[in-house]
Amino acid sequence: MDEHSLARRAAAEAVGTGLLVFVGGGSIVGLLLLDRGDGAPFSGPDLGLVALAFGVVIMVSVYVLGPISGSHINPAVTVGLAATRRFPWHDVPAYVAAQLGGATVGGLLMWGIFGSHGTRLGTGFGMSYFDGTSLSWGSAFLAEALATGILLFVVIGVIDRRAPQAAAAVIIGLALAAIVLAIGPLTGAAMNPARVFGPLLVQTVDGSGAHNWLQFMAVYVPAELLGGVAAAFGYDALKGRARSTHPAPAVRADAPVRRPPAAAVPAGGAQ
Amino acid sequence: MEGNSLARRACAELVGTALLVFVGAGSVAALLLLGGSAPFGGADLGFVALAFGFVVIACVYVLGPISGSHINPAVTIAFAATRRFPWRDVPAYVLAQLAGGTLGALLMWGVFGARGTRLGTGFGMAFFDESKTSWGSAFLAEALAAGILVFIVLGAIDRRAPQTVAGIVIGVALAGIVLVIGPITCAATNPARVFGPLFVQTVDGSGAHNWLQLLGAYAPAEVLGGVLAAFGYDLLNRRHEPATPPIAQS
Repeated sequence: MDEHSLARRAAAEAVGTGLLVFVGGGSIVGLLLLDRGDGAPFSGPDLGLVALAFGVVIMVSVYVLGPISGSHINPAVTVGLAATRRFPWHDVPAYVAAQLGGATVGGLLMWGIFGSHGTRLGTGFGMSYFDGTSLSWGSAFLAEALATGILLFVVIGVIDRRAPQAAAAVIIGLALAAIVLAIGPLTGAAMNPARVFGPLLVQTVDGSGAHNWLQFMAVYVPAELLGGVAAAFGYDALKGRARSTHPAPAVRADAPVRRPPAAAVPAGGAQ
Repeated sequence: MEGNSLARRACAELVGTALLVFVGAGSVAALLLLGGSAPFGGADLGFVALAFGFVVIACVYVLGPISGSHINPAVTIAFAATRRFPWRDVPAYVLAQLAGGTLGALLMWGVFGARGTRLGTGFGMAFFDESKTSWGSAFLAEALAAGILVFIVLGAIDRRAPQTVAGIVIGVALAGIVLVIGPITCAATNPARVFGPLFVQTVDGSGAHNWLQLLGAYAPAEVLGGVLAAFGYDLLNRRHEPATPPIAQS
């Protein structure tokens, strides 16, 4: 990963975050478009398929972009990795800016293909939000912090040298899908400030639907960053970071041979 | 794994069991929330099965190197009974698992709030409907569910199986078990997964809770099924024979 310039890595982050928003957020609009034909509300099975769309696009992004940028595609991941010295702080601003830019492009591409459907369906562009009348702000904060924390815990665990690297992207994607299944109906299970930002910005520019920047600034961003950083430190406390005292038995002979070990690390290998 | 202290391994078991309950049982509450007045459907069951399976996969890979990621007293006891795990560590593991199951349900309380108890049976609690399912059928269902799970776990972690995919095999198998047994007993397969939501539901006090089902059906059936399956696997696999060539990797 170090052999790529920061500009190239930031471009990869923008592409990955754009894909995440376009495919993941887009699956919400796509399912609502089908449901609204018979006036059906967003259902449990719809949620399950949205969870799989997010999980699958994450898997693809980790396999394809991981060797270039680490495929964080999420400011909470980038900050969580930097806070635990898995990623250099001086690269954080470029990564986060690229992620926000990529998510905005993803939202714009949804605008391009769904057109005015994009704003009329649900909350517009697959935007993350919570219903303040049925869910307290404290519960929403806790939900996003826990969801992001679990994600970071899994990401850092599977990129540990002792975990089998061939399956890392699959594990991360499936874990994300499981988290969406549990938290989705509460806050949208965004787990990612960029994924909230892109659709919200496009919805605001479009101007025809509701948009709530207060939830973004007061709940999503702080909860996700806090949950991610706390989980990263929690993982290190649980694991004990004396990595050099252990052999690496899990890097097995049946690990993939098509990539060198350094490139197989899907995130945070730049320390 | 032996390099980690018992306290560290027990902490990992606690975290893993909490994740299992928060994400797995949480998906039950989440799908009920979306379903509104509609009944819990087959498609809902399928996604609950996937949520349980996927979170188990993550636990096996992330926590496996620390504690072995049993996150289930039936698994721990079955391992101990077949001399794969020291009996002296069993109490700490089981206590950590029960505490983790409780923590997972408390976190559900935190995010779902009062709705947690109003949805279905509360906090994704495992139960069976005694008017439709006999105690004998429920006991058999949970014994089979835990037995199949332990059988697959032992096969997947066998030295001769490809280790890279062991966690995925275990998680997908659990999802398959939930799809069959789920409508009967919720396919808990795990006394800690039953205990946590039941305990929090009892503390909350606003909904029904049935400890007799845990003590009379779930816990004994799961432990018995797991232990029998472990002995059955060893009979079938003959552990101490010289290893045959690893055909699965050729």
